[in-house]
Amino acid sequence: MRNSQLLYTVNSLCILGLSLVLAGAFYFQFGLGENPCPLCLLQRMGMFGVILGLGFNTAFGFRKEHAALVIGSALIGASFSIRQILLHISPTPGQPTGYGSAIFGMHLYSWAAVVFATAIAGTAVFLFLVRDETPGTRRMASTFEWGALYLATLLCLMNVVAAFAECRLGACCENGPCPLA
Amino acid sequence: MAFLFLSYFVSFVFVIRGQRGPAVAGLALSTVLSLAMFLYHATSSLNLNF
Repeated sequence: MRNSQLLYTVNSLCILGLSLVLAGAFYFQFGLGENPCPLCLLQRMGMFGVILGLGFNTAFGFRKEHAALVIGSALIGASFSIRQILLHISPTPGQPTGYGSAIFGMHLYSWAAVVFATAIAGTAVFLFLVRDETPGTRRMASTFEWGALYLATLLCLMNVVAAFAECRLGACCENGPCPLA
Repeated sequence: MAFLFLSYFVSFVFVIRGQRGPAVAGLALSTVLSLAMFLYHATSSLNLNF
Protein backbone atom coordinates (compact mmCIF):
# COMPACT_ATOMS: atom_id res chain seq x y z
CA MET A 1 0.00 0.00 0.00
CA ARG A 2 1.56 3.28 -1.08
CA ASN A 3 -0.74 5.58 0.93
CA SER A 4 -1.26 5.87 4.68
CA GLN A 5 -4.31 4.39 6.35
CA LEU A 6 -5.18 7.89 7.60
CA LEU A 7 -5.95 9.02 4.05
CA TYR A 8 -8.28 6.05 3.55
CA THR A 9 -10.00 6.84 6.84
CA VAL A 10 -10.53 10.44 5.70
CA ASN A 11 -11.88 9.08 2.40
CA SER A 12 -14.44 7.02 4.36
CA LEU A 13 -15.30 10.01 6.55
CA CYS A 14 -16.18 11.87 3.35
CA ILE A 15 -18.47 8.96 2.39
CA LEU A 16 -20.09 9.18 5.82
CA GLY A 17 -20.49 12.96 5.51
CA LEU A 18 -22.26 12.64 2.17
CA SER A 19 -24.40 9.81 3.58
CA LEU A 20 -25.40 12.12 6.41
CA VAL A 21 -26.50 14.76 3.88
CA LEU A 22 -28.57 12.15 2.02
CA ALA A 23 -30.08 10.92 5.30
CA GLY A 24 -30.98 14.55 6.05
CA ALA A 25 -32.83 14.69 2.74
CA PHE A 26 -34.83 11.67 3.93
CA TYR A 27 -35.69 13.59 7.11
CA PHE A 28 -37.15 16.38 4.97
CA GLN A 29 -39.03 13.82 2.85
CA PHE A 30 -40.53 11.65 5.58
CA GLY A 31 -40.10 13.73 8.75
CA LEU A 32 -41.37 17.03 7.38
CA GLY A 33 -43.49 15.58 4.57
CA GLU A 34 -41.77 17.51 1.77
CA ASN A 35 -41.79 15.36 -1.35
CA PRO A 36 -38.54 15.75 -3.28
CA CYS A 37 -38.74 17.66 -6.55
CA PRO A 38 -37.36 16.12 -9.77
CA LEU A 39 -34.21 18.23 -9.69
CA CYS A 40 -33.71 17.35 -6.00
CA LEU A 41 -33.74 13.65 -6.87
CA LEU A 42 -31.21 14.26 -9.63
CA GLN A 43 -28.96 16.06 -7.15
CA ARG A 44 -29.16 13.04 -4.86
CA MET A 45 -27.95 10.94 -7.81
CA GLY A 46 -25.00 13.30 -8.26
CA MET A 47 -24.10 12.73 -4.61
CA PHE A 48 -24.32 8.97 -5.06
CA GLY A 49 -21.96 9.34 -8.04
CA VAL A 50 -19.48 11.19 -5.82
CA ILE A 51 -19.81 8.49 -3.13
CA LEU A 52 -19.23 5.80 -5.76
CA GLY A 53 -15.99 7.49 -6.82
CA LEU A 54 -14.87 7.53 -3.18
CA GLY A 55 -16.04 3.91 -2.84
CA PHE A 56 -13.69 2.96 -5.68
CA ASN A 57 -10.85 4.28 -3.49
CA THR A 58 -12.04 2.09 -0.63
CA ALA A 59 -12.29 -1.07 -2.71
CA PHE A 60 -9.40 -0.67 -5.16
CA GLY A 61 -7.09 1.95 -3.64
CA PHE A 62 -6.42 5.55 -4.64
CA ARG A 63 -6.18 6.09 -8.39
CA LYS A 64 -6.44 9.29 -10.37
CA GLU A 65 -9.24 7.69 -12.44
CA HIS A 66 -11.33 7.49 -9.26
CA ALA A 67 -10.72 11.18 -8.61
CA ALA A 68 -11.93 11.85 -12.15
CA LEU A 69 -15.16 9.96 -11.36
CA VAL A 70 -15.68 12.07 -8.23
CA ILE A 71 -15.04 15.35 -10.05
CA GLY A 72 -17.23 14.34 -13.02
CA SER A 73 -20.14 13.33 -10.81
CA ALA A 74 -19.74 16.48 -8.70
CA LEU A 75 -19.77 18.70 -11.81
CA ILE A 76 -22.93 17.03 -13.11
CA GLY A 77 -24.62 17.26 -9.70
CA ALA A 78 -23.56 20.90 -9.42
CA SER A 79 -25.09 21.66 -12.81
CA PHE A 80 -28.42 20.26 -11.52
CA SER A 81 -28.31 22.34 -8.35
CA ILE A 82 -27.12 25.50 -10.10
CA ARG A 83 -30.00 25.19 -12.57
CA GLN A 84 -32.42 25.02 -9.65
CA ILE A 85 -30.75 27.99 -7.96
CA LEU A 86 -31.10 30.01 -11.17
CA LEU A 87 -34.78 29.01 -11.49
CA HIS A 88 -35.49 30.56 -8.08
CA ILE A 89 -32.92 33.33 -7.96
CA SER A 90 -35.44 36.03 -8.85
CA PRO A 91 -38.79 35.17 -7.19
CA THR A 92 -42.05 36.73 -8.32
CA PRO A 93 -43.16 39.50 -5.90
CA GLY A 94 -45.70 38.12 -3.41
CA GLN A 95 -44.66 34.53 -4.09
CA PRO A 96 -42.58 32.44 -1.66
CA THR A 97 -38.87 32.56 -2.26
CA GLY A 98 -37.18 29.34 -3.29
CA TYR A 99 -38.54 25.81 -3.23
CA GLY A 100 -39.04 23.93 0.04
CA SER A 101 -37.68 24.69 3.48
CA ALA A 102 -34.46 26.55 4.14
CA ILE A 103 -31.67 25.59 6.54
CA PHE A 104 -29.62 28.48 7.95
CA GLY A 105 -31.12 30.70 5.25
CA MET A 106 -30.23 28.48 2.32
CA HIS A 107 -32.44 26.00 0.50
CA LEU A 108 -31.41 22.37 0.03
CA TYR A 109 -30.39 22.87 -3.60
CA SER A 110 -28.09 25.74 -2.56
CA TRP A 111 -26.50 23.49 0.05
CA ALA A 112 -26.16 20.81 -2.60
CA ALA A 113 -24.12 23.22 -4.73
CA VAL A 114 -21.89 23.85 -1.70
CA VAL A 115 -21.51 20.08 -1.19
CA PHE A 116 -20.52 19.50 -4.82
CA ALA A 117 -18.04 22.40 -4.76
CA THR A 118 -16.55 20.98 -1.56
CA ALA A 119 -16.26 17.55 -3.20
CA ILE A 120 -14.29 19.06 -6.08
CA ALA A 121 -12.04 21.06 -3.74
CA GLY A 122 -11.52 18.03 -1.50
CA THR A 123 -10.57 15.91 -4.49
CA ALA A 124 -7.98 18.52 -5.46
CA VAL A 125 -6.45 18.14 -1.99
CA PHE A 126 -6.54 14.33 -2.26
CA LEU A 127 -4.85 14.45 -5.67
CA PHE A 128 -2.09 16.52 -4.09
CA LEU A 129 -1.59 14.12 -1.17
CA VAL A 130 -2.08 10.59 -2.56
CA ARG A 131 -0.14 8.38 -4.93
CA ASP A 132 -1.69 5.90 -7.35
CA GLU A 133 -1.90 2.35 -6.01
CA THR A 134 -0.77 -0.54 -8.19
CA PRO A 135 -3.38 -1.25 -10.89
CA GLY A 136 -5.34 -4.49 -10.73
CA THR A 137 -5.02 -4.95 -6.97
CA ARG A 138 -7.86 -5.16 -4.50
CA ARG A 139 -7.04 -3.66 -1.14
CA MET A 140 -7.99 -4.99 2.28
CA ALA A 141 -10.16 -2.17 3.61
CA SER A 142 -10.91 -1.86 7.32
CA THR A 143 -14.29 -2.65 8.85
CA PHE A 144 -14.94 1.07 9.29
CA GLU A 145 -14.31 1.72 5.59
CA TRP A 146 -16.59 -1.12 4.50
CA GLY A 147 -19.21 0.03 7.01
CA ALA A 148 -19.27 3.51 5.48
CA LEU A 149 -19.63 2.05 1.99
CA TYR A 150 -22.37 -0.38 3.08
CA LEU A 151 -24.27 2.49 4.73
CA ALA A 152 -24.17 4.51 1.50
CA THR A 153 -25.32 1.44 -0.46
CA LEU A 154 -28.23 0.99 1.93
CA LEU A 155 -29.20 4.65 1.49
CA CYS A 156 -29.14 4.16 -2.28
CA LEU A 157 -31.43 1.15 -1.96
CA MET A 158 -33.77 3.20 0.25
CA ASN A 159 -33.87 5.83 -2.50
CA VAL A 160 -34.82 3.13 -5.02
CA VAL A 161 -37.77 2.14 -2.84
CA ALA A 162 -38.79 5.73 -2.03
CA ALA A 163 -38.61 6.83 -5.69
CA PHE A 164 -40.60 3.78 -6.77
CA ALA A 165 -43.25 4.50 -4.14
CA GLU A 166 -43.47 8.12 -5.28
CA CYS A 167 -43.15 7.90 -9.06
CA ARG A 168 -42.97 4.20 -10.05
CA LEU A 169 -40.35 3.69 -12.78
CA GLY A 170 -41.08 6.88 -14.72
CA ALA A 171 -40.26 10.54 -14.25
CA CYS A 172 -41.35 12.39 -11.10
CA CYS A 173 -43.69 15.36 -11.17
CA GLU A 174 -44.55 17.58 -8.19
CA ASN A 175 -46.69 15.10 -6.25
CA GLY A 176 -46.10 11.71 -7.79
CA PRO A 177 -45.57 10.20 -11.20
CA CYS A 178 -45.84 12.41 -14.26
CA PRO A 179 -49.02 11.97 -16.30
CA LEU A 180 -48.64 10.07 -19.54
CA ALA A 181 -48.47 12.10 -22.76
CA MET B 1 -36.43 7.76 -11.32
CA ALA B 2 -36.48 4.49 -9.37
CA PHE B 3 -34.71 2.83 -12.31
CA LEU B 4 -32.00 5.49 -12.18
CA PHE B 5 -31.41 4.95 -8.47
CA LEU B 6 -31.42 1.21 -9.15
CA SER B 7 -28.61 1.61 -11.67
CA TYR B 8 -26.57 3.49 -9.04
CA PHE B 9 -27.35 0.73 -6.52
CA VAL B 10 -26.14 -1.95 -8.92
CA SER B 11 -22.92 0.02 -9.38
CA PHE B 12 -22.47 0.05 -5.59
CA VAL B 13 -22.92 -3.72 -5.52
CA PHE B 14 -20.26 -4.14 -8.22
CA VAL B 15 -17.83 -1.98 -6.21
CA ILE B 16 -18.44 -4.01 -3.04
CA ARG B 17 -17.96 -7.27 -4.97
CA GLY B 18 -14.66 -5.93 -6.35
CA GLN B 19 -15.74 -5.89 -10.00
CA ARG B 20 -14.13 -2.66 -11.16
CA GLY B 21 -15.00 -2.79 -14.87
CA PRO B 22 -18.73 -3.44 -14.44
CA ALA B 23 -18.83 -0.82 -11.66
CA VAL B 24 -17.34 1.84 -13.94
CA ALA B 25 -19.74 0.83 -16.72
CA GLY B 26 -22.66 1.01 -14.26
CA LEU B 27 -21.65 4.47 -13.08
CA ALA B 28 -21.24 5.65 -16.67
CA LEU B 29 -24.69 4.32 -17.57
CA SER B 30 -26.22 5.90 -14.46
CA THR B 31 -24.63 9.25 -15.27
CA VAL B 32 -25.84 9.20 -18.87
CA LEU B 33 -29.37 8.25 -17.74
CA SER B 34 -29.48 11.01 -15.13
CA LEU B 35 -28.32 13.54 -17.72
CA ALA B 36 -31.04 12.31 -20.08
CA MET B 37 -33.63 12.71 -17.30
CA PHE B 38 -32.30 16.22 -16.63
CA LEU B 39 -32.70 17.14 -20.30
CA TYR B 40 -36.23 15.72 -20.23
CA HIS B 41 -37.05 17.86 -17.22
CA ALA B 42 -35.51 20.96 -18.73
CA THR B 43 -37.40 20.62 -22.00
CA SER B 44 -40.67 18.91 -21.00
CA SER B 45 -44.01 20.69 -21.34
CA LEU B 46 -45.05 19.27 -17.95
CA ASN B 47 -43.67 22.29 -16.05
CA LEU B 48 -41.02 20.32 -14.21
CA ASN B 49 -38.85 23.34 -13.58
CA PHE B 50 -38.74 23.28 -9.82
